[in-house]
Amino acid sequence: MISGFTRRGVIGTAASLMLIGAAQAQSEVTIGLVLPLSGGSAAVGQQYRTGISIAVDQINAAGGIKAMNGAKLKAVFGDTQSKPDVGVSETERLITRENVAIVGGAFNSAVSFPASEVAERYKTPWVTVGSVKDEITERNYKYVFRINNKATYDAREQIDAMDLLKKETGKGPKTIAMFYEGSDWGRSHAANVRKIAKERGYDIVLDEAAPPNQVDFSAQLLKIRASKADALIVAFYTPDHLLLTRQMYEQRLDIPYGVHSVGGGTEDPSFYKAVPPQAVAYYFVQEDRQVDALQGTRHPEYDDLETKFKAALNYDVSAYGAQGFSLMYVIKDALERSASADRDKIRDALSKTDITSGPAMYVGYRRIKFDENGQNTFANGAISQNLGGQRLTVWPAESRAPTTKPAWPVPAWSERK
Amino acid sequence: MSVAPHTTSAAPAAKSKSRVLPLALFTAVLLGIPLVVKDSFFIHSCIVVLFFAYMATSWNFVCGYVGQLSIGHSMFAGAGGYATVLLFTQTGLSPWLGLPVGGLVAALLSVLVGYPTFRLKGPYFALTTIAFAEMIRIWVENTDTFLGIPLNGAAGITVPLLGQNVAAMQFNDKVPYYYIIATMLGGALLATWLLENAKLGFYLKAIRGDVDAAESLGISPSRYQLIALAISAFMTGMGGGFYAQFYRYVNAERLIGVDLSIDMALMSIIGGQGTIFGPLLGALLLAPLAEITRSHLGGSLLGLHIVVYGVILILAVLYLPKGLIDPLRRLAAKFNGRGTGR
Repeated sequence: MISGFTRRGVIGTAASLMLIGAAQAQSEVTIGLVLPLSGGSAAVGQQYRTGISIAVDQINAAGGIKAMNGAKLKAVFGDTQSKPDVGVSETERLITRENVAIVGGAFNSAVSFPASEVAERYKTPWVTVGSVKDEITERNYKYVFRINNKATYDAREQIDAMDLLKKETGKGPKTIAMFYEGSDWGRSHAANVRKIAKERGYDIVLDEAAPPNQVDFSAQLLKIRASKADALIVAFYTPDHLLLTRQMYEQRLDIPYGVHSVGGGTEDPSFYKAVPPQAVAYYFVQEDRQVDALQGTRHPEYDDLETKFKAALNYDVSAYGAQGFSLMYVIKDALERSASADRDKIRDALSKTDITSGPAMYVGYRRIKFDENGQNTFANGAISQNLGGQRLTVWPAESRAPTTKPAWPVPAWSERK
Repeated sequence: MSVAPHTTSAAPAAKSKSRVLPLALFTAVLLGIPLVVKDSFFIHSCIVVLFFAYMATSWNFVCGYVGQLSIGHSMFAGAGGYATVLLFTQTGLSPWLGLPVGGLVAALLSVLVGYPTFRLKGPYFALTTIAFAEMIRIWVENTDTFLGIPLNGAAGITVPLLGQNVAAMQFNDKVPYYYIIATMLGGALLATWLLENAKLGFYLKAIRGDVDAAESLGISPSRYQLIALAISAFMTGMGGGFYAQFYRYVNAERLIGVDLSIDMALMSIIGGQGTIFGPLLGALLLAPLAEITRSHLGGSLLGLHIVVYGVILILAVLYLPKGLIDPLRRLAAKFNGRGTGR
């Protein structure tokens, strides 16, 4: 009896919900997001999702898309599990089933690459989120965009920072060791560093890839020690980065011109909760955005984002949360100009995007404007150094606070307190 | 291991007759789906299900019948997938030929791997297969070119998009892919059926029952296991080739990774290993289950779909240790018993 009643109740509720859904369908723009919500990159997916949801709430609360009679945004999420085929299936589902006007995704380059092809085939705009693989915006596709930087930009910025500090102090590294995770991201980053370091006259004395989820880095740390490199460039996701940082701390491995991490783990707030502050002291981190000071005007939306993000995840807004947040404002901007949920019109509007102010700039880029391949060529990150327990921007020079004094070379372990 | 009584029943004619009807029905439904349903995502999901059914059937061909647990079959999928793509991008060989050639490459690899490993048993065999597959995966992920062949490391290889091109096995519509994988599945099922009725099948079952006894009867375990493994690897390699054509992208992490191997083994075991239709049944249940739980729960409650999936797996293993096919077979046997008994 009870179960029968409940079931009927559920069906009734579902039916009425569907009716409401149908009634609202016209004044809603559905946005599909394919992200790694489970599996190895789940923490990152979660941060994107939180940033995106907060932005959607803000936009809707502020009256939705004004050019479309106040149409509300609706975000629909799909879980890629970091697998290319699952990402393709989810993209297919969001485009054909959920009828999304635009898709964003998918953090892992190996997923974004084939999934964006699906979007291109369905003539649905795809905004790459987080993936840095160069080729994603080098295929002459019409519907594929990317707000964040390419892998080459990250490597260039790391070397730029070294060059800058060398110029300022007259001292700097001559030799560089590279140690990185052995999948797509780490390897493509290493290839870029190799190329740029050579152009700028640095010697690569160690070039070592590590398979993911290692349980011990001792052997590789010995190699790094033996290489006597002046600086170390690393690229690891959170779990490996934690292990590496702990072991380097335990072994008191001295690198005169510091550890230069290209983000990944060192941009993940959960990373900093799991290591003692001394272990990450003087780390250089290539940040997707400036963490210490946001350039330009402070918007009320920022405060709202920061409060809600912290309430949801119990740590401050991460670069990924910021990217998700910014993405929705870029989409809002395009929708205001397309004045339609038509995929082709949105594509055309996106291609004419030129944002220099407003909440979308929370990512800390100079500007958001796409080239003919859909790449935002103004996406630049920042290099921070961990000083007194805080990541303070040291590069570019114009973004460095007057009070920030980079430690260069970094003190040896024996000289630290 | 006890042998189920009905497999030795003396009425093969009656048995095959009782199977013809459901089989014909199933085939008709399978072939008819794209004619009736035009929804692109539904067809896409069907292709995913058929792909996994095919892979599980290929796995079952050796592992189910020999009773060894391979968790490294993805290395054959990877060999086939990479071979198909590289042959196409480097020499222009059509995937229609590339698929079987990829299968042969996988079969060759299986002999090299199988020769030392099939002497091992139980967990040792399972662990060694994982080790081999992981070695190959890590090697591919860290190798940009090998003897001039661009493996492209962890970045994976893309099949250039040519649009509608039958020779390159590229179609704008999904239906051709559907029929390709359906045909491949039919072939794999047929191969398994032939195996059941061939000497090789009996040899394998004898080896599964008791290796020493089989050997004393003059059956060479390593030889027949290797033959079966090579056939299984050939089919798995073709499956990898299909994956490459369908997604137009291969990367080592997915196609040679352990997740795919586990999926193949799991679907066979849940469905009923060592039977013709068990793996198909397992895939028909598990692949849609994964899709449905993910598409309904994946975006809202993080990770819940994997928990639900896991709970169902646990229940299946606890209550149907011989696989989902077991209660169905008993049901069929009951009907047959009634039909022929009176």
